[in-house]
Amino acid sequence: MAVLALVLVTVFGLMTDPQVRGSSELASGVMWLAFVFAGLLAVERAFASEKDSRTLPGLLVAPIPRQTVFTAKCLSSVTLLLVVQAFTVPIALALFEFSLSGPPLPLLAVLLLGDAALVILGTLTSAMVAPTRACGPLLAVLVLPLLIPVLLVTTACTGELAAIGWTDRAGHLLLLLVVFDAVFGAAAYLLFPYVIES
Amino acid sequence: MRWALAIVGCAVLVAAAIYLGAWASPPQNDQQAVARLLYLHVPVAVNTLLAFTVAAVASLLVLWRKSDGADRLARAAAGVGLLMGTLMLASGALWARLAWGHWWDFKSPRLMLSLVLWILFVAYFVLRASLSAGQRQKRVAAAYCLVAYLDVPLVYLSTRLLTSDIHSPSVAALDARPPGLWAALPVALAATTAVAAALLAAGLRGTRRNDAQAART
Amino acid sequence: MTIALEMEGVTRRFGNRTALEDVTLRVPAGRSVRLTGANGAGKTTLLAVAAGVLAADSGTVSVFGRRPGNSDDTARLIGYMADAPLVYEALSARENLMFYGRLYGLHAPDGRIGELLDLVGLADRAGDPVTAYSAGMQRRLDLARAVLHEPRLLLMDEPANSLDADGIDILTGLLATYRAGDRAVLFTSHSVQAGDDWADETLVIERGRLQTPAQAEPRGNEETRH
Repeated sequence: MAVLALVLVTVFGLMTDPQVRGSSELASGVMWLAFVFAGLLAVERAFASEKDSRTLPGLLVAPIPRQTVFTAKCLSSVTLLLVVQAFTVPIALALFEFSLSGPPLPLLAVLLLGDAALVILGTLTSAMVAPTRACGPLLAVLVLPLLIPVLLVTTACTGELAAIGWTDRAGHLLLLLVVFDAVFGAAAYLLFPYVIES
Repeated sequence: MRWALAIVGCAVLVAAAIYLGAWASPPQNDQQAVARLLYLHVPVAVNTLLAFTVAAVASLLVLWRKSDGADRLARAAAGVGLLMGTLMLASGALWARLAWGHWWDFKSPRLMLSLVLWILFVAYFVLRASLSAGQRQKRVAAAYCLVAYLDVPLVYLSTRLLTSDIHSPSVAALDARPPGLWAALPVALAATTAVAAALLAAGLRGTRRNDAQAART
Repeated sequence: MTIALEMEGVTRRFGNRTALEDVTLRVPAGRSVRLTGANGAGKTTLLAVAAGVLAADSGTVSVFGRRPGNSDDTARLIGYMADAPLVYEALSARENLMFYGRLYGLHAPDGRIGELLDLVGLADRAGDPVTAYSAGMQRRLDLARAVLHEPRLLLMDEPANSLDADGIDILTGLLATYRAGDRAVLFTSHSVQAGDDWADETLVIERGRLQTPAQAEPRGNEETRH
């Protein structure tokens, strides 16, 4: 997964015109694209052990609410994604000849909030399509349209934070991300039980 | 008998709309001529959202009441939504081309929203097709429809906040307003909604027939 | 008399195929019931619905008076063995049991785990990953997993599958403890031999419907016909 993200970032870096580099929008767009691919891989694998070992009934029959399974899968996917990002962000910034201005904390916030939305929607959708064969591409088709608002905001926010630093606009965008996470989180949490059972 | 009435009713409304829109008040300039596209675009857009809402409410019922009828309604409404969405995209793109010279603009919230809506309808049917028929398929499709519906206002919010749009002025603020707008537009809206409702009813009958046929095999 | 498992009018369809139709049965505590039927008759589905793994399209299921599925208390009462072992192949036997121990909220499960590993004869291979196990060993581990939390109702799908003679002995011993007191067993079997001495009563299911005792006939010939 980390390798995929690295490869994507490198390829994009090679393909872009050197004169355009240094653009915060480009860097942030490319990075988030890489994160989306990595994130999709992560959530697809979230149910992999249950698929391979056919142990899903074991989780269903255990005395834990279905929603706990959802939360657990989300947390593990987010962790995976954060590890990948810890790698990829510095490399992307270097490749795009770009230095961070402003404090790193808000940047961390965007990453976390964006990851959360990605993983929440991805995990729910992954559970939807887990029993099917063409799981990977199908997952992308279903999740990406849902993620469009999230990606628009995270890319803009990351770009702004990286280029200018903390601004009011960045603050508003972060707030919007919080709203997204709350809405999608609540919806996915409530809908998961309907989706996981056979 | 009821179908004949419905078709006649729709035909009358559509004829009235076309008459009012295309003939009754001739446009005074090119801009107004092009702006008449909104007699198609606006009603179709409204109906797309309406269809989506019906599908979402039906999906809620599928999950809450485990109702098969609600599932058929969701399917039919999504079908109408897809059709209306296609018309919305086409008329929107045509209008953009005629009015501003380009077919598409990624920076426009309205255009992006239409595209996302259209894609979500398609995704809904792709999901249904990839799952084997049964209770789970209905539940999962309903869940997806609900999440997709929640996505719509968020798409609108984010695109509005992030982009400026030369395509966004509301109908009332339109500079190049075609004459007779306030007469033609409501009729066009009524006509399109009537057609959409008729299509929905037809779709419902179709799904009921399909389900019955499938149950017999 | 406590009823361990009660199913009333249970129906379950998969697409156009009706797997269970209007199934009504009662397993009292202290009894062991065997469910037989040809392949595809609905045994696995029935067990899954009883365990709360599958939802019924209509009808009710209650385990010791409570509904299974997505509920803490009822889940603790149920020990479930599916047709495939519910063990993670990447983990070792001990790790699997530790995981399930935590899942079921067992405090200090080490002692119990050691005990069970000895009982099923896996103590010396407990540290190896499950992928290295034979089918019989995986089955034995699954048995340990199913009884780890000391459930009161055992639901077992073809428990004798893959087990060698020693394994069968272990299973027999375990079942003996469940056929008494406030516990109960419902297991499926497609073969007439295995399970004869484990069951107090036999139910027959055919094409999703439970046959009444009058309709039940010797099932020995089913295998050659199907």
